[in-house]
Amino acid sequence: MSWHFDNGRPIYTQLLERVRFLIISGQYPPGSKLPSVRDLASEASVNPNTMQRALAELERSRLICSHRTTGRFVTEDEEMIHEMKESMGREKILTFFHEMKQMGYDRDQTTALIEKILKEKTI
Amino acid sequence: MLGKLLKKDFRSTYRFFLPLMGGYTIAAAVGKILFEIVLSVLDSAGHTSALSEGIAIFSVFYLIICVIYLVACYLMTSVFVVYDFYKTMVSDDGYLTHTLPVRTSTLICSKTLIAVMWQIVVNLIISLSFLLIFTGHFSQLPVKYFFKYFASSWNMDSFAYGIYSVLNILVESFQRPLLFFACIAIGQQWKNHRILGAILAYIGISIATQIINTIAIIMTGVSSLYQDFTLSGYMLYSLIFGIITTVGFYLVSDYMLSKKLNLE
Amino acid sequence: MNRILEYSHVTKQFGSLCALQDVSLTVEPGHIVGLLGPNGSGKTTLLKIASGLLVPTSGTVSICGLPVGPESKSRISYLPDKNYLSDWMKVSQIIDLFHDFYLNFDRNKAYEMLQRLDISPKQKLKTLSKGTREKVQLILVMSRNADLYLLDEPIGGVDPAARDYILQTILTNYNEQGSILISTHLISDVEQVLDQVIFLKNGVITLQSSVDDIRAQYEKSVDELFREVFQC
Repeated sequence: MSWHFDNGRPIYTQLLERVRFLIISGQYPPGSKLPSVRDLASEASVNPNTMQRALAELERSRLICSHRTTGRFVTEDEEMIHEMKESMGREKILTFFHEMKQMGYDRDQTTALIEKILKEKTI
Repeated sequence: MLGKLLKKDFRSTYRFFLPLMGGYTIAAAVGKILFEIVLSVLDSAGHTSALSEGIAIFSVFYLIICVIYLVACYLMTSVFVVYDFYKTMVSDDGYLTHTLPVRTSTLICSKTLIAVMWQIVVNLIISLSFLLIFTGHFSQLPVKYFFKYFASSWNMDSFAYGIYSVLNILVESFQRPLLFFACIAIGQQWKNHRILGAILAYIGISIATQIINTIAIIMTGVSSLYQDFTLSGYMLYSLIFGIITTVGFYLVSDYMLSKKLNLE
Repeated sequence: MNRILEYSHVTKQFGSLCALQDVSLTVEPGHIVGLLGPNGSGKTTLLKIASGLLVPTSGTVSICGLPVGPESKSRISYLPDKNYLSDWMKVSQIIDLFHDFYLNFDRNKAYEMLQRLDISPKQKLKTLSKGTREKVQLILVMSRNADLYLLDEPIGGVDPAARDYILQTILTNYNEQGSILISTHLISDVEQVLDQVIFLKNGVITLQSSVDDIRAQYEKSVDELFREVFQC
């Protein structure tokens, strides 16, 4: 099943984000071997060159390291992954608060609503 | 590559020729049987029963049909060779043919050789069928005198005339398909008028070759030989002219189909 | 390494109609390039010139440094936008034919793909449905280990599931030494598979760029840009 992409942004950026997400969420655990560029590209139904570019970027950010003969691996630096995860989480939450504000909820109202929902459901 | 093309072209043509020749062979076999019956009926002279008359009438009828079939065989051979060339070289199938890793000249060679082969095969089968029908009755036919008469009227012995006939048939069997190929090759360059173009090319080429032939005859003085009824010089000339036109048709086909190809 | 495909000032005229005008382009190895343009823009003409079915009025074409000829034809695998196989042949016979003529044809791969698509090799081509025939034609083309694949509207008349399969096959066949040139007007379906695109309008190249560069520069997908550029 091919991955879905937004129109206004380069595909490689979106691939980069997706792979990063897969790493951060644990689907590609730290130290694990990533599938080959071809396999990843095939899975995402994208051009291998585009996937290559995305992975090269992730390598630059040290989230991935490549060993020439054995392929690409997720970093073993769990601290970095954790930091990235927190950074992404922060961003999501800040965006959420911003959107709630646009809807008319202030900070306290938003927090109250969150607590109310948490009591009702188990997430 | 030529071998592979020959195999390919043979496969695409034999599914037509096999049934055609098969049908003809059966018709000839039946004809032979009828022939023998008719002869035996005629031999026992004086007995004309209704049955023997019926058989005789039926035989004549059958003979006429056979002759028509025979003429049709010759015609269909040419028609099908042309159809196969048209289909595989200038219609949709041409997309396959012209992207094969071979030169256009090789494609044309293969088509020509296959066309010649089938003409020879058809001629052989028909000749053999006559042989078959007339076996046992050759003494009754003036075949030898037939040849001698023709040859003597032209001041040459029957052997030379025989050689000329064979060579002439050989040249014609190359020339005829190549003429059609050249016409199709010329016609295909006009997207909307391909067949019309081919027909016009045929007319044009026929007229042109006639004119050139006439000029050449006058210029080489062969005509004077003709008047003396010593045709051996003329026959040599006509063979050479035939070969030249055949090569010309080949070159035209090759040029048009490699440089001016316009498939649609 | 030689450029896979190079057009140098190629013009093609059909009488008074100019199908291609001073077209120059280069395709390096290892790319999947989209040749995009509306119907009648000259895409098919461009592909036919590379595959040897048309001769340019002027200009030169080279494939892996070679001129158009039997050698270049052996390195190009061309998929036309029509039925070009003889009706009376069986699938197995056409496979044998390709095996005969093309050294780089992989017979096993072809049979494997046929099997996966549930197409029996014993069937005659004329008994197959239109969609199935197109799949057979695609299988034949993709079973060759060519340097350059020229695909003319490979997903045009095909259902979405088959479209996915075709794009998957194209991706699987990709190799760093070769390139694929796909002509299509259905851009949104193929955009993510391409890495470069060429816009062709009335026989003239109006744009040649990578997909991501276009997205970065115009902040739109290639499909959206195309619609803008070619709006009626």
